[in-house]
Amino acid sequence: MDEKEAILENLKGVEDPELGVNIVDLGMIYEVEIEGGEARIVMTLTTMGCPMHDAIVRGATKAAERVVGEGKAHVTLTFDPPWDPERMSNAAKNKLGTI
Amino acid sequence: MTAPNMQPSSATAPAIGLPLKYFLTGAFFYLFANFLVLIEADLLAQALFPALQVKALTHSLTLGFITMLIMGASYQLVPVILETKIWSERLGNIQYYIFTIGVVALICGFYFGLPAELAASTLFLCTAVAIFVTNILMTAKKAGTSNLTARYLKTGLFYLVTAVTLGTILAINIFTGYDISDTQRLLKAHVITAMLGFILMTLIGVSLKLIPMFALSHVKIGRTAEITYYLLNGAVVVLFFGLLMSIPVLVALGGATAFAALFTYFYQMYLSHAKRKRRNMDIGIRHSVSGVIHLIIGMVLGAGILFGWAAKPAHYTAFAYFSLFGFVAIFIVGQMHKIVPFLVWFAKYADKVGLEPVPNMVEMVDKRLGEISFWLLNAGTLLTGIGILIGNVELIRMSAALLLIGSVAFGANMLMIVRR
Repeated sequence: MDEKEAILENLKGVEDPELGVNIVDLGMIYEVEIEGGEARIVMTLTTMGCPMHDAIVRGATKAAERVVGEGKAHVTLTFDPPWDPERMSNAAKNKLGTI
Repeated sequence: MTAPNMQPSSATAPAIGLPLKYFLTGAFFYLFANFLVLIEADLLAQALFPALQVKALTHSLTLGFITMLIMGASYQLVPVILETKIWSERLGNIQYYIFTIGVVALICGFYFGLPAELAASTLFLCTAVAIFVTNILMTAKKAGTSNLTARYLKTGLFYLVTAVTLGTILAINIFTGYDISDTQRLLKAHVITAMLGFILMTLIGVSLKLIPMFALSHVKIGRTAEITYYLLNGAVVVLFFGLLMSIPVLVALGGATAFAALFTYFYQMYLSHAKRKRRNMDIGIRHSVSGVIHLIIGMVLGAGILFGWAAKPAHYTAFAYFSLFGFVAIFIVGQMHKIVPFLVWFAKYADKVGLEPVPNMVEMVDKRLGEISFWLLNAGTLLTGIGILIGNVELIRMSAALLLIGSVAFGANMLMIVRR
């Protein structure tokens, strides 16, 4: 498993605490790149103004740091494009009752 | 578009103890209010809503539970909505003690017929409300931003001050024995300002933000919500003057405007509901949705009162009961199933995300206790309301017992969440 896959696997341990679904299955992770030993993650939130945003972003950072090392993971939050429920995995859609 | 400069919510959130003390005390008063429904069933069956014991019961709910919860939730949610810290957490803590003393004194003053205690309680309540309003307005001023939700909340505060002022005048009137020519008019104006102006305005404002967020429904709070805001304000003002000055045509107009406000609100909620991505409703949302059903029953009774085909004291009492115990209380109980786990999760688990498995907020709520409170509170409320309508004291006693058990289940659930 390469570092990118390992980071994604660790990010599956980070759940949206309100929805109870991990942020990878929710389709919140847009990009994971490794450059010069440092990880850059671009992600979004299901709702702008989510009160849990820093807990989730911090959690994503720590999950990535477990692979690349402390201080070497950088998470950028974006709403462009805004979160699209179609990006959810079938498992997530099932859990939320979307399908 | 990178995210706008979002303040970490941990930087703006108050210490958990501040909102939590309001929530737990409010839950106790909810249980106590339901206990009073049980022991004063005969007064309710006779629709003796002017009775002091019924006033004690009403204020246990409206001040002890509803207002206490709104205050606690404001201290938690206003920083989220406005992305700034509360102006003074210390004052918020001091306010809690003053408010609680005031509520207890008021309930005792009504229940045991103690005019001096009643008058003294208003001093505590007015002080507490003044602190609360100042704290929230100074927080809003610090934030410098305003949105529709903030406008709803600030307007609700204005009506809270008005309602408390009228209540104080009425309480002092009881104490002094001064015969204001028609206290009934003041009382009606007090009730309308409190119920529609403060409670409904605040609940609508908060629900327009929270319900779509919980349901993953990205319907914008737009024009319909603004229309609701102006209609509700219009209703309160017109009803206030209509009731205060006894002008029936104004009362009719105000009532019709209130209905229009509620219909536009229902429409906005319907849009949110129709476009929600999260189909499964957790126990908190189920409680809140069931509260709306009681509101509809209340609205039918309200229409009857407005158009004259429901003019008996039992109709008025049932209308107030379904509106307050049915809609407002159960709606708030539902939201507490979301807010209390949020508070506790934030304090205990937020820093552990990504490092170890942490429970999600739904897992923190005991499902069995949630189901018990859902079914018993709803059945108990419905049957108590029917008992009031038909004047059947045994039905009221039986259903109030269900309510009491339901509220114990709810209280126990909240305590278990806090003690995790």
